[in-house]
Amino acid sequence: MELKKIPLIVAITGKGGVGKTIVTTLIAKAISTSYNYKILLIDADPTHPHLSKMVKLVPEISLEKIRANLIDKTISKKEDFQSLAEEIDFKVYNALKESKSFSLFSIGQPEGPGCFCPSNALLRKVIESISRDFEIVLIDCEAGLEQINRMVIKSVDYVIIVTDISLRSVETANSISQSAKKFTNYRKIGVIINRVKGDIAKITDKLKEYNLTVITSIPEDEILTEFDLEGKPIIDIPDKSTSYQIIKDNIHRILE
Amino acid sequence: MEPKTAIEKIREFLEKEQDTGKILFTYESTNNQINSHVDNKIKIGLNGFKEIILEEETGLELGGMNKKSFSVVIPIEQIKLINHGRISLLGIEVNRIEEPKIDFGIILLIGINKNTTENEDELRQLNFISNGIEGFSIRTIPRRFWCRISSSALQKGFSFEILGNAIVQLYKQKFPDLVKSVEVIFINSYPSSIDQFIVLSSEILAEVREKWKKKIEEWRKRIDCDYDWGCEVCPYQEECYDVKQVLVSREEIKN
Repeated sequence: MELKKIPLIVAITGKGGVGKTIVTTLIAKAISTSYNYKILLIDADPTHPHLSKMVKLVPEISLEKIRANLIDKTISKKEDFQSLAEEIDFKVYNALKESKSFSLFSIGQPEGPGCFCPSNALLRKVIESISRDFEIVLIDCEAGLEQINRMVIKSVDYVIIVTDISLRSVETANSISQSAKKFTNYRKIGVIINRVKGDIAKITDKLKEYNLTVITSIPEDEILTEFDLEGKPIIDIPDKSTSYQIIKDNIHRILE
Repeated sequence: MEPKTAIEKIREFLEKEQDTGKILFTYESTNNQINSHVDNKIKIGLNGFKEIILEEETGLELGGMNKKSFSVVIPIEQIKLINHGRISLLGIEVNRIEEPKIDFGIILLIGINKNTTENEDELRQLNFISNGIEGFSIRTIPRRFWCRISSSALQKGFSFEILGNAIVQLYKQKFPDLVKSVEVIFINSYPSSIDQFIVLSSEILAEVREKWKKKIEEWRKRIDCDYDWGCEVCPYQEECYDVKQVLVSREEIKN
């Protein structure tokens, strides 16, 4: 399958607790087993940075730590601006945790107060440059897209909003789609309904009302629940898992 | 600088370096020879080898952090000025390198046909070769060069001759209409030569830099600001100014 754009940048977002990190992991696993693409994962949820653990790739240093060091070195004049500019790309590249299937950056939690605007712009420039070494970039974001737009990447091709079957999370999906329009020039937007149980007509009607297309629905999955309860890395989930199969069967809809 | 003058300066630089006793290898390849390398040693093919070479699998790193490095791509319309298929190596071959990481520079002279829809600017993004050579992976750093060669590729006989041949072949494959000829120059082992070439390349690329300077200035004004540029109320005014200098310096290196 030929990608329309390289790198294809996909942001996965949704209300807290709907399972967006699990969905990101399943998407990453499905792409890596079905296609020969270089995949970059970005764990961009500073409050719940679980993606790294779910794919078993925990970076030694977060991007927030690099930012804090940069600000410290800049204001203390420990290094001249030229040297800092020359080494920042190397430093960010070294924060990448790699495996044969994926590479991963972790944004991490903010390290105290500081000047965020130009340092965000700087990190974003470096991440955008490094992402050109990959064909697919999957970003696991917190609910709003403002933060990834500022710090991670300026443009997103596909926004995937994960929702469960609660009305509140569907309403959050709507507000996320509104903010996505404002903060990114996405090409496509779609919804994955997670943990589906019983009749979800009300949910799909509401999504239709909000003009949001459903990519697929994932039913409650015993294997996944067991993995989650035991804290096992979701990347190791067996192929027979229903949720994984559904994502795998629909992966072409994400990539086209 | 005129492309013709730029090429003359580069050739003059190589000759001068050779005159000071530095080793300059020259390989000439025809398309047939390129293919024989493909058959016998390292496999080559556009998008055929999308490998991530992990640190523990790395046999040799070219460039990288704390190493001198550069990459320069010069597209030229006067095709005759370029010796298609020539690979020059100022330094030593892979099999004689003992360190795990070395200083490294790469210059690509590319003869182009302007009458095509293929984009000339894309020629400068040489990271696509990363996916076309077995056991070889580039990590993109603006204007610098950083790549990993796997231990298994080294065991199979990876050499700068093979790398040069692969680059010629991959450029021709990716840009069949735009690229008419490719000449490759590598510099390693001589940090002073790399320093001198970096100075020379900034003279060669002065016009390109000038073109970008205006863009950078414009872009600098557009950096998002939480305080809507109300600098008088911003608690981080001083560090904002300093970090912005780093940001602008990086953009200048990049272009």
